[in-house]
Amino acid sequence: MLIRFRLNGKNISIDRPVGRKVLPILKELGINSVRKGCDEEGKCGNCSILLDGVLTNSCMLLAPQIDGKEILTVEGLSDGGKLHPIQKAFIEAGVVQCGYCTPAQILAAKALLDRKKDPPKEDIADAFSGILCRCTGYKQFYNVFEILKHGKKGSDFTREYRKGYRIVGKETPKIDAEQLVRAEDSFVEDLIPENVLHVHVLRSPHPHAEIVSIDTERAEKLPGVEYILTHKNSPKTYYTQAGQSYPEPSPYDRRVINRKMRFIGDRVAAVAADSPETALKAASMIKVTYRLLKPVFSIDEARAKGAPVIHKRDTSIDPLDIGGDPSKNLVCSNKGGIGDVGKGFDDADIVIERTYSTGHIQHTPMEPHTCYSYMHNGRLVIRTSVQTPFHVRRIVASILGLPESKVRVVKEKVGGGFGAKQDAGIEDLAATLTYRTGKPVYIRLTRKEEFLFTRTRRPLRIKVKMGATKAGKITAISINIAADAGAYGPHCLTVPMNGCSKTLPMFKCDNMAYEVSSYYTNNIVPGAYQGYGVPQANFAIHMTMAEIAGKLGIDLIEFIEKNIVKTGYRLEILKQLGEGKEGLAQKISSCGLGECIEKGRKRYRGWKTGKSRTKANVVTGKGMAIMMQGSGIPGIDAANATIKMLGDGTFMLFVGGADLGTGEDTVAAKIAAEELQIDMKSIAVTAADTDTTPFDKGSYASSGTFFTGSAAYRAASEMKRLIISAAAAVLDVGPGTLSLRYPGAVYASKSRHISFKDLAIATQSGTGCGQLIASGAFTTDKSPIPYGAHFAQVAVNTLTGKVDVLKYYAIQDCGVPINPNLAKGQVYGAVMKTIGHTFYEVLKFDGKGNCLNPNFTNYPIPGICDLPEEFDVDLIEVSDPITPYVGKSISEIACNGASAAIGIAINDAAGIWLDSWPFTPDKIISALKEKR
Amino acid sequence: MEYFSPKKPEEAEKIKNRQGKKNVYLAGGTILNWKSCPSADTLIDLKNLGLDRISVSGGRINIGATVTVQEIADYPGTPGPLARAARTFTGRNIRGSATIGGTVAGGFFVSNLLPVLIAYGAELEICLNGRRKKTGLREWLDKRKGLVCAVTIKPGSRNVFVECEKISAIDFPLIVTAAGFGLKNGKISDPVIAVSGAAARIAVIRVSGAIEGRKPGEIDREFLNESVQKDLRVTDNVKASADIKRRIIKEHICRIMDEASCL
Ligand SMILES: Cc1cc2nc3c(=O)[nH]c(=O)nc-3n(C[C@H](O)[C@H](O)[C@H](O)COP(=O)(O)OP(=O)(O)OC[C@H]3O[C@@H](n4cnc5c(N)ncnc54)[C@H](O)[C@@H]3O)c2cc1C
Ligand code: FES
Ligand code: FES
Repeated sequence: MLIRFRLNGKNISIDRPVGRKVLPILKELGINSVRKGCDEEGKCGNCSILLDGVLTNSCMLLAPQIDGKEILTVEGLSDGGKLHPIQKAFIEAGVVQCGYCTPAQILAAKALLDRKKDPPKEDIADAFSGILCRCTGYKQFYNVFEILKHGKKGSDFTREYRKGYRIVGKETPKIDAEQLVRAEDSFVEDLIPENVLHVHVLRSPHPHAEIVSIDTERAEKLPGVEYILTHKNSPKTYYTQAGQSYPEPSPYDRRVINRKMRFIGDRVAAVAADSPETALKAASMIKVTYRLLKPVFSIDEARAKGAPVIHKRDTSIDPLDIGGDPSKNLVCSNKGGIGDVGKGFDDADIVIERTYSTGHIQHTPMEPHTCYSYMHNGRLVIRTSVQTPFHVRRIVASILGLPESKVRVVKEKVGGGFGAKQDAGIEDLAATLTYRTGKPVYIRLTRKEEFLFTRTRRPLRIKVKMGATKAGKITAISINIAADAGAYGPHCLTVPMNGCSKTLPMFKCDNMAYEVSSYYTNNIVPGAYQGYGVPQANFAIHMTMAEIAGKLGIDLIEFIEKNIVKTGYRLEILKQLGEGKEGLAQKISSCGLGECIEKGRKRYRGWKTGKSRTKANVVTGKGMAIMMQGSGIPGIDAANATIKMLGDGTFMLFVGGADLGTGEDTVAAKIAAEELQIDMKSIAVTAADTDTTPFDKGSYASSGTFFTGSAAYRAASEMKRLIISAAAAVLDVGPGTLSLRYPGAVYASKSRHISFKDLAIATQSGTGCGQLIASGAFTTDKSPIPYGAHFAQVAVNTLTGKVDVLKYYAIQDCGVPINPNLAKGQVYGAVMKTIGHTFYEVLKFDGKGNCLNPNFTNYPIPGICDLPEEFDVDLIEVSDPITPYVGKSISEIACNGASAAIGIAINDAAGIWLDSWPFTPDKIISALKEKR
Repeated sequence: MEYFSPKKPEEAEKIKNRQGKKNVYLAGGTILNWKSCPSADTLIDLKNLGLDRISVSGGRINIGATVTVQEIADYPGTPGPLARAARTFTGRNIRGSATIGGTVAGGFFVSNLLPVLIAYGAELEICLNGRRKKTGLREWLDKRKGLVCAVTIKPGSRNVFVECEKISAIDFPLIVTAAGFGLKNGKISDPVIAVSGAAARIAVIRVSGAIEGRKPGEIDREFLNESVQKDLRVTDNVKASADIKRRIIKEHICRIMDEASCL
């Protein structure tokens, strides 16, 4: 059918089938900005366009529905090099994080402003109500309108930090924001040529089975089919997909395709064909016969005597001795502690022991996993949306038996990771298929696959026992975490260990014990998720603590204050809590916990509780929680950076770190610019390309700012030294007399100085010392600990069991907030995510391993209209001696408070203690019934 | 797939009735184009039928079938409960496409607007077998025959109230409850309560015995709730149990009667 329409001001006339959706049509026309965040369910709104000025999901339109219409996308908003004011305001407000949803959000703002010049708050929420964002937490979208309508600046929404610095602690635009608001080629999906092979994975319908026979003959004959990978021709290497530093504390328990199926959805075969349709059809022609095995779906079933064994020792190889025994389905175990907990409990006036549990929660990055691989000059190139490009290179090289020099991994823009993309979850398959066929391969998961076949937050069963004296001193804490590892073991140890190592060290208690274990089951595979196991364990610890405080009649805040650590406290417990090896005890280099609590206390005290005067059946209550995290993994992880001075005295910074939209590249550039006394426009960043940037462990474990930032700092410091030494030669003075001055010059005195530009010309000329190139490596035995305190007020409806979060206040100690609005955005995003986890986000199963809700229709996540009516984030400034521009980590930690603060608030309101996520109306009502 | 965009409802209906083929009407497409493209031989686009207007006359509001939910929310003459139902309809992206005709005919498992329209005693203008005719919305829902051309309500004749509960804001509603009744000498007449989300189909409960002939302020909420619930089939779904849904309905009834007491 011939369709005529206007696209971004241009007349278009194209012939397309009636049933063709508008989203792919626009993609064919080179429009990147229509992003497919769901399976065309109408739920994500990331594919939005303005259709005759109306915000519309392009995935829900058929070709004829745009005939005669006018379409606007962000590609049509900017005027050549000039950004539209709305695009500028998005950058200024700091709401461009990963940028996947950003084009749709910009269009929503445009549609609103076209209707109303100065829209009220409700209209702003309504305008964005159909567009999901998993990064920002939405709150700062309101600032966009303050900027546009009232001329405000980014710096009006936050105080500035670090007096005396020009760039660090000040508002500067995120360095990749412009490409994202324009929807320039950024994500893997923007780079795919026409001739790629598409992959369909035939998946196991059985939770536990062995393939007896597999016949691919008919499928292979289907025209367009290029290659079919099964267990028969799969590479034989055992590996872990976990993107962790080598040697990983995760078992090598899988091949690319195994013969044994261990969960519903395990890979049976992968078909690479010239179209997705052909790949799907061919997959349906593969004949498989299975020998069914008895499955296990819970930790208890897995560890029962005589339980079916899911892995044998020779298919679950343990490079580090993480304490597993596959014959008992035990993937790993660890225990330890300090002092004598038995005595601690004896000394207590009150001892409480409780068990808490949590389920599978999905990260739901708006961009699903995507990977594009091809051969170039005999080398394998993988362009992918991943958090750990260097680990992926190692894993892929090892699977294929290649030297790392034959593999290049480039991290493209990542449309949200949150831990889901820490692993080589699809790169292993894409790389194998490309290497076998020599052809380019593209894998893009559907939303359903993203829910089921990537990673989830790990289901944990956490037993906490705590004792305290009448005076409110905690005498002993023990924590026992049993984890569901699912069918394979990535992060099986790290997640539960973090549940201990990022909770126990908040307390100055002499007697602490921990025990962790993970069990193979035939469930889907959990992995890392922002916060690792800390959100779950912090919830468990706080609920127990609040119950004790209540029983002792001590105010919870006072109880907490009596027991928390301060700067200088030596954390002996950390020596025990390593990851697959002994950890490192450390002295707390800085602790803003007390200040965070103090800051929140004032506001919290003013929040009312009790029966609602206006709403029947509604009672309000309040609660709070403290939290900590790490900043990378000392003694295990490493980061490197290189800086080159360019011909005009500007700089190129190369970091291996993987910015996931959180602003890591911006942080690295800011630190280097501060150190080198230059403007942000004088430094550009290339990152996360294993060919061109130095090694970095990647983005996980809250390491971005501290590790990658510190590597950038070291490289910049080294560059400073090189500059001074080169300038000394040119100026013919001693290096000791020289200093760097803004903007980009070296001074001996007022009259004797040289600009970086002149220095670059001098050094790079035929008689110079050569281009100035400096490198910095960062490894450490320390990790500055970020802290925080969150406060929540809730309203509980005792008739329906529905709970609303009315107020939420988060205060974080992230050292020096290097980019304050972006840092706050991380917190808003983390809090909103975990409010979702607290109330409704969980994957449900039918008891036979089938998931009931792997889509946004049945697994809702928070939208802008779910924001608490009062919702604020404050960052305190804490100086830490570890590095001069100390950014401690920020985003993961902010996941650790919501469910604890809310759980305690629910108790305050309704007198019930909830012990499992999510706090559904059904659980609330059943707890209320029990209480009666 | 063949595509038509007829100019008259009769023409559209004629194409729809062509034998031996799967012919479907396309309005906003939010149900029809959900996930994949529709599996049909013929697509009959309703966009050129001229059914895209809201008009008011003689105390009646006539809403053309292709008027979108957002247009209903924005139209100044939309009565409060209907506007409220339209505004709580998921997100703006869907509201801008979804039509009232599609809402009536789509058979979606939970609806914001249908309970309100039923509470108003809405009438439909349909095109059936080449002829235009009027029929009650509730009667039409039983048979679902013909092309819906317009929905008409007479807001002044009935008092209508609506309540909606969701799990998260971007979610479909879990339960929508609407109540409508006339008032004769301050006393309730012809009361109807409509609930969507309780089970797969919308439930319409006549609660005459429980409240007819009484003043709104005199209604015993417990008794009314029991009368509603005893006739109501409620099923569990992935988001909440039947028990929770029943509790929400009870709360809705109480809130509605609180509001009605102020009449
Ligand atoms: C993401 C999402 C969120 C949603 N949220 C809500 C919500 O919050 N509340 C709610 O109530 N509903 C919701 N819905 C469902 C909603 O009812 C429908 O989306 C919408 O109202 C259908 O209208 P449409 O114009 O898009 O219908 P279409 O998809 O075009 O058509 C739906 C069906 O009705 C038929 N049809 C359409 N018009 C006519 C007509 N005039 N006469 C006869 N038959 C006709 C079509 O042939 C088709 O079978 C949601 C749907 C989605 C996808
Ligand atoms: S892809 Fe269109 S709404 Fe999600
Ligand atoms: S910035 Fe919105 S999804 Fe990442």
